[in-house]
Amino acid sequence: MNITRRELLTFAGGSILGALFTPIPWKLLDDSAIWTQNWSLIPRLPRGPETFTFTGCTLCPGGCAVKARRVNGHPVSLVGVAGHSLSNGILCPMGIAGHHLAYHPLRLRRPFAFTGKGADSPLVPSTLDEIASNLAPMLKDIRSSSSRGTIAVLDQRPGRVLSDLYRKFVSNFPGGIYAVAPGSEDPTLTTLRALCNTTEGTLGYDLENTRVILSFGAPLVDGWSTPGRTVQLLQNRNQNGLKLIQVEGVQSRTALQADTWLPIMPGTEAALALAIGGVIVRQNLFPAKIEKTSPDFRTYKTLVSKFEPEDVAAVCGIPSSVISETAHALASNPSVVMSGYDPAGGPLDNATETVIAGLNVLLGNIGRTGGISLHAPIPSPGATTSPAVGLAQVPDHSVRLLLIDGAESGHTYPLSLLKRKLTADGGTVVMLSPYLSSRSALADYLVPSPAAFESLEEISTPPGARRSSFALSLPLLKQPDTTVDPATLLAKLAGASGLPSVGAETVESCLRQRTHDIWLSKRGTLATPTGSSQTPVMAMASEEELWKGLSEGGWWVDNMQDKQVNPRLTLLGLMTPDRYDKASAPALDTTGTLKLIPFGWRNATMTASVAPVLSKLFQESHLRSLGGRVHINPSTLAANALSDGAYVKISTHSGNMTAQAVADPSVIPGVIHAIVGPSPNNTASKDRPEAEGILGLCAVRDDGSWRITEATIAKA
Amino acid sequence: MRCKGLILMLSGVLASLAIGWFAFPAALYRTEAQPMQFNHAVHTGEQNGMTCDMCHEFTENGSFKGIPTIAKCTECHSAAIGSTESEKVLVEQFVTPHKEIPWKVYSRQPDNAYFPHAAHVKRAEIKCEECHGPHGSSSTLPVYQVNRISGYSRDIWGRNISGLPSHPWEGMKMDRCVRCHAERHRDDSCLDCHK
Amino acid sequence: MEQTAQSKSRYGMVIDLDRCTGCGVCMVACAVENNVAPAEQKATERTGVTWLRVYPVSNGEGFPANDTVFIPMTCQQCGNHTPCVSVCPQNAVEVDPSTGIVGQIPQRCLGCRYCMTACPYHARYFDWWDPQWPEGTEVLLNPDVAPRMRGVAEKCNFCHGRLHAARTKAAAAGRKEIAAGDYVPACVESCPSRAIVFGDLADETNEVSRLSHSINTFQFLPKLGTAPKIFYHSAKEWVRKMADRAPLA
Repeated sequence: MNITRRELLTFAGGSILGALFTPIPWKLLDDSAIWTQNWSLIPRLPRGPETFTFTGCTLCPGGCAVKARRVNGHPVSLVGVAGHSLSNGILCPMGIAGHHLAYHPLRLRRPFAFTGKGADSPLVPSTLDEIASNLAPMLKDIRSSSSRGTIAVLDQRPGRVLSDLYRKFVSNFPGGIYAVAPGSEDPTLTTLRALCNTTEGTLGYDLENTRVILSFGAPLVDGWSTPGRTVQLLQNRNQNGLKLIQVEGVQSRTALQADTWLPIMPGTEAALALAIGGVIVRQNLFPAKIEKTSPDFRTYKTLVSKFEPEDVAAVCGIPSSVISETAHALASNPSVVMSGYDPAGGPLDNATETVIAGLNVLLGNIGRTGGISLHAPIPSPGATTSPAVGLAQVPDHSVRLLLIDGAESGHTYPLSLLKRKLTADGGTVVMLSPYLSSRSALADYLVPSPAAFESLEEISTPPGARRSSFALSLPLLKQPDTTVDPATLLAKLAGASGLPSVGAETVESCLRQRTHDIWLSKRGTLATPTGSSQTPVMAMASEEELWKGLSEGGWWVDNMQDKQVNPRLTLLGLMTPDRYDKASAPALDTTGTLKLIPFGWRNATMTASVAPVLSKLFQESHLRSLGGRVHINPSTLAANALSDGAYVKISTHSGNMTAQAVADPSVIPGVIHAIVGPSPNNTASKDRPEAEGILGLCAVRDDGSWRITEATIAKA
Repeated sequence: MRCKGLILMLSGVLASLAIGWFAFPAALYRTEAQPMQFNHAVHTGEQNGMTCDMCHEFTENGSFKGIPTIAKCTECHSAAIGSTESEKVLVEQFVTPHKEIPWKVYSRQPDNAYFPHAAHVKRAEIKCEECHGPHGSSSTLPVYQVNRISGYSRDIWGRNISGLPSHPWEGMKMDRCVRCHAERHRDDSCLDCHK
Repeated sequence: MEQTAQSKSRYGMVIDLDRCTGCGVCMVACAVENNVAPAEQKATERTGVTWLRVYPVSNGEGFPANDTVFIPMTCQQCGNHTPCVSVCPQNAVEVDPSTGIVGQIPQRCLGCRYCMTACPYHARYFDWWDPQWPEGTEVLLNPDVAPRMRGVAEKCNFCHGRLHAARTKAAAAGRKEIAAGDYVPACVESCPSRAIVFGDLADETNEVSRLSHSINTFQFLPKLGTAPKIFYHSAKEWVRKMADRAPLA
């Protein structure tokens, strides 16, 4: 039988008609609609029991308390712990997404070796044992003689038990150096320590009782020490009567919140500090005893006499009346003077830091309520053998083998600062880090350390804190098997150099040790995470009780009386008066040479140090600037025939680079406010460190500062 | 010849109906085996007399735990009770290695649906059986079938391919929710049940 | 048996612009809470998704007279002639009669973006890409909020997942009303400066209700008559004068 076309169509028509009376079309429509709402392009939500864990954030030394909400054991959100006495329930934008960092596309997942130096050399997978055996001959050689350079450990977060372990390790090598990274300590307190000429105890700010803070650019509301401390103090100014005077050449977030903003020409901070000191000296606003107790008072008096407010006003752009008012405000209230350590711009130069810190001495702030106190450090097993030195103080070309610790201070620094410490052949660098960053370009060996919230870590006293404190950061995520415990790396290297054990082989055993020391000292109290109850260590039945309390997110805070400060405080320390030349500040120049000042936001100076979701601030909005942008006053842009959004070529003695200019009226004319920050979010994995960017253009001075570099701009 | 056309058309209709009502459901769903057998009746029957909420608990914050974890099973079954095959599987494969049983859930809703058991069971006092049927007195698990397109259990649409329930508890589609809410004159918004 | 009759709430916020430091924690907390994916590589400030966005706005003066205010801008939860509701051809936006929350239902949205054009506050966003998290991050998503597919509009819904949780908690305790402390959106909870006060504007004993009537409190674009439920507060006159223009401008 032949089937005609007509018959086929009739049959098909019938089928279609019939199909309408079957569930096929309706069910397919329904199912495909559900499918589009749940297809594989949309991730499945986790399911499971909800639990809460108290822990602490280790992204920076601020060490804020964290309450983690977990589903099926995985952390799904982090919040601050309300009632917590040190961090007041506050987390910063980096901390609130800290649990995402372990999954960052730039996460290092296994040890690597670089086949050559520099950003272009490929990463070759390696193992910890291979690295240790490669380094063994060099380690043994350094142990027998330091003539060809020595070993150094760069600690990015001093004050931990692990830091003690590092010191112990390097002390086994002749000339072994334990250096602390720039930004890991408060610059004013470090300088004051030198002025006090003491090594005992820890200095801290008694901000809770201060009435006036004079801050030379310290980002008090935007990433200074424990954010919850200063933000809360400044928000409660109606009640506590605190006044903040911010000295800064850019109207930063802190300057916006300050009671008084002193827009200063960068580079003239020393002149301002000395002018303020001059008003205090001339008008006898200082405690009388200072004249007797400070051996260099006469020298200081002669020095400040050269800094008349009228003259200084012309140099730094602050009216003389304001200089005078500031001096009076400082002298008639419990006050604190602090300098700002910019997370990317680093410290001010040494001479400036000294006169800023010296104002505290002149005002009699040391050891005074509402001033700067000296308190006991966390109990520790005893003297550590290698003294700590700042990275800048390490002799140039002296380091043959450099070990860089994986914790972050949240601050960054030019790679040239590190490079000049290495021996002429470039040395060998072993870098612990959870991720690949611009700094990785310096490494010969990359060792993956645990990411935030992945391992048991310690939270020791935050910089500038009033009292010593200690807590544990409990892991929320499973640590990949390939990550390396820093203590284990030390043990491996010790083994490779033929040393006996340097002590603990895991961070956990270090922490047990510290708990033991605290228990033995009987000092302080342990507070529950929410502050609901406090138990003195003295009243605890066993060491295990202390450990258990800490393991549940409890915080130990010392209760020792403040230490007596050596009254013989110097005002200038080792600085000679000829270091201060008031004529040094050039007149405002907006067309020729500009001042290139790098600027960063703590913990957000590298792509890998912020969770991808921070793209909301950097890339998907204009709230924060991406790295590589330069903010320039519109008048300066116009003077150089440039416009907003233009690509400009920035040239310094160290080289040049192209960046996008942003017209920003909050920046003082004559300054290139260069952002050091993450590059646009990148979800693809990378196998090369990112370029150093603007910091590569900065000139590093002998004192280790790189705040201001002379630069020119032109249309790219 | 008119007749032939009609016959052809009718055969087309019949073919579609046959495919649509019989072949289509068979092709649409894939049967998947549960990890082990489970006898609700043994638990809820006279001998043990357990109620639903003894295993299907609420958490402190009111959320519903759903199918209990292995820890709950272990409370009684730390060692085998009886000698059935599923008891052996339970103890050997899940209780002893402390592994969760990867149950396939008949009532699993899409991620964008939000169903608070607390509001329905505790506040509105709706019995479990009103939605889940006599599941609690069954002695074997129903066959689990998964929709090849949407990826959800057949029980969401209902066993009957027509979508018309053979029993009042059958089907867990949105219209079921809406109907019940309408009967109770609830002032609803989409986000009450969607997340 | 329980019959409907829930009490009528009108949730809203008062944001103190003088306290806001522009840190951005609210934006991150919002994205984490509501499963908003990180930016696609090509995303910009025009194509990104930020249910809550903090705009830095300058007073336009030169240095050093310049002043900047940070304006957290989110869905204004318009209580009157809600523009997005009136234009949506799909009925994918609605105002919840019992809470006043303007809800967006992504499953209904066809992606025409009429609502984005209609919104005078630029508070609506479009998913130009599929939501993608770095590998492994799926387990860290908030189980209370469903991720949205590409091609739909989305916006702030006052952390509706948290309202669900508060209601569930109340229901489990046999209560009809939620406890005020149980329902706090993520931005409010995370704000270090405590600049955002959230609550039921209909409850006159509430702080948010009191603050919404206080001096120097204003709404954006009041002339449009959309009756936003987000109020702003600033002692600075130039900031208040901005109320008549959208800050994005």
